[in-house]
Amino acid sequence: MADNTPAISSNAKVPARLSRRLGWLPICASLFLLACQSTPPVSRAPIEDTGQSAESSTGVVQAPEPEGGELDSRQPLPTDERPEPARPASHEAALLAIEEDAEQFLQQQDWRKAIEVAERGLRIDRRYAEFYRILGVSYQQLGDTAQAQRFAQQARRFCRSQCRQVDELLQQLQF
Amino acid sequence: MSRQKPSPSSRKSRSSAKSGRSTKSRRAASKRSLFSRLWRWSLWPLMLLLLAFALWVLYLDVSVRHKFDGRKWAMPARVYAQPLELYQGKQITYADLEAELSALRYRPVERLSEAGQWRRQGSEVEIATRAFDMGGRTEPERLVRLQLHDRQLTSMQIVRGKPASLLALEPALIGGIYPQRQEDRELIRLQDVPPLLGEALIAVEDRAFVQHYGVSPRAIARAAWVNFQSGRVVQGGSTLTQQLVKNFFLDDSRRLSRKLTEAMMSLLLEWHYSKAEILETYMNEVYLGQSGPRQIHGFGLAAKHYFDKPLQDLELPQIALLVGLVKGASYYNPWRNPERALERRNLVLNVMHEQQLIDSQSLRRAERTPLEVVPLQQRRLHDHPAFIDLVKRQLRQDYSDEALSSEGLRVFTTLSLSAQAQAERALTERLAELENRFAVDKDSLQGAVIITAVGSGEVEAVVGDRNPKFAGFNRALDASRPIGSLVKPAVFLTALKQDQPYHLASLISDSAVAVAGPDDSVWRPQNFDRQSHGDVLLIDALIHSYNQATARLGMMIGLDKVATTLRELGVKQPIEEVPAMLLGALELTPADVSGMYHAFANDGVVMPLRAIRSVEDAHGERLNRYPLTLDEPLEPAAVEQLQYAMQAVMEEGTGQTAYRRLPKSLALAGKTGTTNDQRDSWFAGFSGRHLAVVWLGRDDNGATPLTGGTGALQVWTDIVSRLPTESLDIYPSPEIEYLWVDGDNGSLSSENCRGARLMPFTTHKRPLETAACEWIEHPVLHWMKKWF
Repeated sequence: MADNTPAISSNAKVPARLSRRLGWLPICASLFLLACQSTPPVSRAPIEDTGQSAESSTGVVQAPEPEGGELDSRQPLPTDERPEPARPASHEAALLAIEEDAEQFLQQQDWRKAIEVAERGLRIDRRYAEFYRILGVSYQQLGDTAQAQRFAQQARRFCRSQCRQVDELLQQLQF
Repeated sequence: MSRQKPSPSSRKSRSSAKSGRSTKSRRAASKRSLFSRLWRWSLWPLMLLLLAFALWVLYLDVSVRHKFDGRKWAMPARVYAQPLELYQGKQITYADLEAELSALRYRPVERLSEAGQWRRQGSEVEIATRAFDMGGRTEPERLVRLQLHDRQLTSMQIVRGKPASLLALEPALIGGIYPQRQEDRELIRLQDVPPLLGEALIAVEDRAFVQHYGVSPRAIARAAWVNFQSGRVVQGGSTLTQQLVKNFFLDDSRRLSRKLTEAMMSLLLEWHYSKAEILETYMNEVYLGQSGPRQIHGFGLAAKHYFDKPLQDLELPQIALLVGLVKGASYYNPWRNPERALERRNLVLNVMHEQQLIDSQSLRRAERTPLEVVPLQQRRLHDHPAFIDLVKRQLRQDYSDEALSSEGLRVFTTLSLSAQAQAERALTERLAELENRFAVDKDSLQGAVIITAVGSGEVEAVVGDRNPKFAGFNRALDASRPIGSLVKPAVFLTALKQDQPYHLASLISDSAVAVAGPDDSVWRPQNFDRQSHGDVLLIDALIHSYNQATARLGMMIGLDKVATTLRELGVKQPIEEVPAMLLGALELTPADVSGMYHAFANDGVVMPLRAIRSVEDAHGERLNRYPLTLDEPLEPAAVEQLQYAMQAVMEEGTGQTAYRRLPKSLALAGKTGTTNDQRDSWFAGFSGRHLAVVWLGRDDNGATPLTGGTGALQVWTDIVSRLPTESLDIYPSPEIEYLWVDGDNGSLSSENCRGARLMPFTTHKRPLETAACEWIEHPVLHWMKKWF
C-alpha cells in the first residue's frame, strides 16, 4: 500500500518491504514448525535385539513370534503424510455429466443403460464411488445380488459424501 | 396319365388306315403312318424334354431369386477399436490425437468446411466431427475446439452442435473376421457410386448393357469374329449380367452346359430385376484384388485397398484403373506389374473418351497422372492380428464361426489405437536394439506385450510377435512360460494377509535355504548374485527379489496358502504345490499374468479381462454387451501394502532403471522376472491407469543375455514413456497407517532418526519394538534455527 504513494522515496521502500516480510515471518515459522512436527526422537528406547529371525544357516525355518503384548502408545503419524489422492479436478465436468446421465436411467428404471453409463464413468475414474453405487443398485434391481454386493462394497470403500446411501444399499443386500 | 395319353393318337391312326383302299393310298397311308409313328414315338421324348426344360428353368429361376433376394454375400464381422473419448482432463498427446484422426480418415485442412476435417494452430486443435450411431446412441456432428498442454486436454469447447461435456469420435475399423475363403467387401449402394465409374464400367465391359436382355447375340458374334480373326480368345462376349451370373452363381468350368445355364440365368435375372439392381450387385461382387489370403471384392473395398480413400473421393485416373482391373486384377496388379496396369488404365481412359464420357483435355491430363496407389508398406488391412485373435477367442464363447464370418456383425472392442501403436513400436525397436547391444543373432529374440486399462480390465493392446503384422503364433496368448519372480508378489501378498503374522518390516533370513523334496531331492534355490544377505526386511526381499528369503517365507506360510492366493488372483491353470512354485516354476502366458497383475493394480479387485464391449448385427441392433463383472476381492489392506512394496521395487530395487528415462514424479509399481539361464525376461508393472506385461525370450526356449531388468523392463519403459498415463496413488484403507521404522531391523523409529523409512502397516499388525535412534536434525528445522 505504501508503494502506491508516489511521495515515498526508493530508500523508504526497503524498510517497508522488510517489515512486511518480517511481519510474515512468525506465521511462516509457525507453519514450518507445524509441518515439521513429528514424533519425538526415541533415543530413550534401549537398543535391543528383536528376537526375531535368528536362523541357523542350515535353513531351518522359524516362524516369527506372533506379535502380542501391549500396543505401543504412540500415535500414528498425522494422516496428512499420505493425503487422500485428489482426483484431477479437470475430469469433473465429464464425470458429473455421466453421473447425471446414469441417474436419469436409474429414474427411468432402465437398469442396463444405467450400468453401461456407469461403466463409462469408471473408465475415466475407477475410484468414483457413485458409479459403483449405481452399478450396485442396478444389479440389485436385475436380481444379481452377488454382483450388486461386490459393487456396493466398492462404493463403500471409495465413498466420501454419499456413504449413508451406500450403507443402506449394503444393508438391503444382506437379505 | 401315361395310359390315357396314347389312346387318342392310336385311335386316329386306326381311322386313317380304314379310309385308304388303293395301293397308292396304302403306300401314302403307310408313309403317313410312318410319319405319324415317328411323330408318335418322338412326341414323348420331346414332351419330356420340354418338361425337363421347364423344370430346369423353374429351378434356375428359384435359385436366382433365392440368392438375389436373400443375403447376397457372406459378410465378415467388422471389428472396431474403442472410440476415442474427448473431455477436459483427458490424457492424450498431440501425436496420438493426430494418429487417431488419421485412422478415421479425418483430413487436415486450413479451413474447416465439412465434417471429417480438422486443423491445428499451436496448441489448439479444431475438429469437425462426423455423426454416427453406436449402441442406440447418436453422436451428432459437432465443431469442437481443444486445447492440449503437456499430454493433457486442458479445455474442450463445443463451438457448434449439441453441447456436451464429453464426446466420442466414431470407432476406427481395425479388421474383420473371415471365413475359410477370405472374401471381403464393403457394400456400396448405387447412389453412392460416382456416375463416371458406372459409365466407364459399361463403356468398357458391356456397351449394350442398357439395351440387352441379359445376353447380347451381337456381342457374342462380334467376339467370335474377333477371336476367329486373331486365332485365340482375345475378347469375351459376356454381358455384365452374364459375368455377374458366372461369379455369383456358378463355378469356373467352361463347358457348354454351363454356358447355357449362364445364359438362361442371365435372362431370368434381367426378367426379375432392374438394370440398376444388377449393376449394383455387379459392382459389389466383382473381384478386384488380393491382400494376402484376403480377396478384395467390389469397388467399395477396392478403393480403400488401392487408394486408401472412400469410393466417392476417387479421381478420374483412379476410377479408370479400377475399371481396368475388372478384366484381370492379378494380371494388371499395379504393385507387381505397374507398366501393364498403366497401359490398361490408359486404354480405359481412351475408351471413355471415345464414348464421350470425358473430353480430350481430361484424357490428356489423366493419361499423364502416375498410378497413385498407396505404397505397399502402408496398406493397413491386417493391422492387429494378435488382438483380433483375442477378440475371436472371446467371441467364440457366444457365436459360431459361421455367424462370425458371414452375418456382417459389428464387434466393438477395447483396443486403444495409441496403446497398440506404442506397444508394437516398443517391442519391435527395442528387440532390434537389444540384439545389437548384446551381440546375439538378429531376429533370434521374440516377445509379447499386453496393455490393460486398470479398473475396467479392458485390454488395450496385444502384440504377439516382434513383427506385429504377422498373424502366426500368438505369444501373448499362447506362450506359456515359467513366470520366475513375477510370482513373488503373490507370496508376499499371502504373507501380508490378516491371518499371517507378517508385515512389511518383518525380518526374514536370506541365508541359504534347503528344502527336502518328496523323492530325496533337495531344493536349494540361490539368489541371483549368489550371495546371502543376512536378515532382511520383508519389503527388501521383494525390492531386491531375494530368492532365498522368498523361498523361506513361502515355506513358513505354506505352499497351500500361496496356491490359494494365486487362485484368488484368477490363475486358472492347475498349480503344482511344490517348493519351486515359490520362485515361479508356474507356467503362465502374458495374458494370464495380466489377469493376475490387474488385481494388484486395481486395489485387489479381481475381474476377468475383456477385449469386447458389445456386438451388433448388420443393422445396428445390439446382440450382446460384455459388462464389467467383479470376482471376489482380495483383502484391500494387504494389497495396498503390496502396492507400496512394488512401488519401492521401481524406486530403489530391480525396476529402478526405468526412472533413468521416466520422471520421478510418475509413481509406478512393478516386478521383474527372470528364469533359469535367463530363458525368459519378464516385466509386469502398472501406473494408476495402465498395466503392461512384457515377455521376451526365444521360441526355442534357449538362453538369452537378458534379465527381466535388462530386457523386458526396457520395452516396458519405452511404452510407459510414450503413453500418457497417471501416477499410482495408493488408496489408504481406514486401517492403514504409515509408520517410520528402522531401515535395518524394522523396529519403530522416527522421521529424524538415521536410516528411518516410512511404510504402511495395518493397525493390528505393525512393529512393536522401538529401535535406537541416531538423531539427525531436520534440515528445515536446522535452517530455521539459524534465523532465530
